[in-house]
Amino acid sequence: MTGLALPEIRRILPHGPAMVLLDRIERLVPGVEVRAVKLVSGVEPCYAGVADGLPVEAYAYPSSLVLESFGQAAAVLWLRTEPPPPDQVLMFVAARECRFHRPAYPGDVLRHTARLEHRRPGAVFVSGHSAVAGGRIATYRSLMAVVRPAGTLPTPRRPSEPSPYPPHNLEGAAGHG
Amino acid sequence: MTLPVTGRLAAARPPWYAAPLAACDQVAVAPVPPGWRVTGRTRIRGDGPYLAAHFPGLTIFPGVFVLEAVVQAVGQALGDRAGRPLRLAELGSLRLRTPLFPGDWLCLRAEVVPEPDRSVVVRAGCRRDDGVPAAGLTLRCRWSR
Repeated sequence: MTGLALPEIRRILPHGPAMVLLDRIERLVPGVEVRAVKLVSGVEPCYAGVADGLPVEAYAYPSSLVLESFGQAAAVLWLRTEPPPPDQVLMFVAARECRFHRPAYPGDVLRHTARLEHRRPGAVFVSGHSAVAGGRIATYRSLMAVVRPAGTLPTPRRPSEPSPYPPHNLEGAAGHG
Repeated sequence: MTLPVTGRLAAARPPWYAAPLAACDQVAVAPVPPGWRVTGRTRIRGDGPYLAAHFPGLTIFPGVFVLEAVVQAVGQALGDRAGRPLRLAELGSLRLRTPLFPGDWLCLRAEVVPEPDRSVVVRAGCRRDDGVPAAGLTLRCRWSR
């Protein structure tokens, strides 16, 4: 199999259009590797809050979105390798040793390469990197996703209002997880 | 330091640089040698351009936004240096334990240790406001472009 255009990416991923952080799949080899493209554009919502007159470093594309975009490429690879049954969903649960060498900026084309490293029942491990024209900007030792029956996922609780923890004392609320 | 080192929570400012959301509502910092302890909390919302799309019909706070919340809280606590914000350089480990939904509070506590290369190492735990562990992560940040 070779590439996929945006309509097919949108069909594969469950995200709404604003959160689909891929523009094209250039090459997809199920079970092996995916190469995906994401154009960073200055009209993306993450730039809406940047005031006029700031230096270029204010426009560094957020690392969290670089990671999300790579994770979506990995999700496309997995969902085309072993599509889960309709009642099961793919969840990103862990990452290890991801390095962000330098930022991308509007006008850069992110090229993700994600490789399927390891599979076991209900879980998949992916590694890879992201690059722009000037070289690699991020490397990922391992991202882990699991397949879970949709019915076993935690669902929104009815939140207590206000929070039981007073704002000046988080000791009871926040510990190492 | 841009925050008084009192350990008391103060309202966090939204990031001045590109960010997918203002991921930290309140933040506090206290000295814990050899570094600092940063605490913060955020009310999970369902609005905003990204959150409404993750996912249509059922908003789940993206795992990468938990990472964003920790980096923003530590960056706000320690402040900019030479006009540069604190940025994620390495994600040593991230473990997402339970999803967060609109209405939940994300409560984070981070132990922040300065390194000789002028980076900081962050070990953070995140819980939902009822104490349920939501995430654990270790990362390195530095002030750079």
